Amino acid sequence: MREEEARDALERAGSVENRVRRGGRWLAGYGALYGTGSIAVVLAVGLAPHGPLRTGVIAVCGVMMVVVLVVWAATRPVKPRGFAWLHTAMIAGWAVLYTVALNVGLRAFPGDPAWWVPMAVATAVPPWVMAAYMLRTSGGRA
Amino acid sequence: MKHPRSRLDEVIHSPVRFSVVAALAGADQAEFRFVRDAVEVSDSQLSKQVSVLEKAGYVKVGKFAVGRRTRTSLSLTPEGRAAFDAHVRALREIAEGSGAPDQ
Repeated sequence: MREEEARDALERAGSVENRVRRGGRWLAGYGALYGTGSIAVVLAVGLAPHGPLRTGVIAVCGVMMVVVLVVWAATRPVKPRGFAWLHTAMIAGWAVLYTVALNVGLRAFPGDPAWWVPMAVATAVPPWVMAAYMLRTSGGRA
Repeated sequence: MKHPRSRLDEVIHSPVRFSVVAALAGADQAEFRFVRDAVEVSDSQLSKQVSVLEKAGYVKVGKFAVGRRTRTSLSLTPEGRAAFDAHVRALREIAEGSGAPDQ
């Protein structure tokens, strides 16, 4: 094999690999939506007017959000590099922050925006960090 | 020192198979049809090359259901990823003009 042939083969391989890497960018959109949905759910739990329907409505919205996102993720044609690790780490980080936000907030800060707004944003950090990481890494290597 | 040409992987060396492996190197898992479009080959060509790669232990083929349809997923095995990395290293050395002069 000559030098030029090797360069051509590397160029072709790089081009195909980058195309597939870009196919994994959906995970960035997934992270962005997940984070935004999490903010909405936490704010609804903490700040929405109290009433008999509150818990049910929030629970249905939360379950619907998760179901739609999970189905959407399962039908993507490309699972990006490190998907299992990234997704597990994101869910674990989100679950810790979400649990703290709701458990502490409902007991100590009911209806207090000074607690609920920053904590709602904090729960969005893990999915948004995953989204940013995916955008940075899905460009592929040259 | 041996010429890097001697370290090229015989299975991956075919242009289509190299493209298939390169495509799968960019993901943990990809659907058959996505790889077919990325590599720009027909279904039958891709099936044939995937069989060779699967026999070599480089590619894992899986089936999963989406609604009522069954889809085929492809992924590199750890051996396949290691072989691809080694093949790319050898190609880079050739491209940089390392090793003995070409004959």
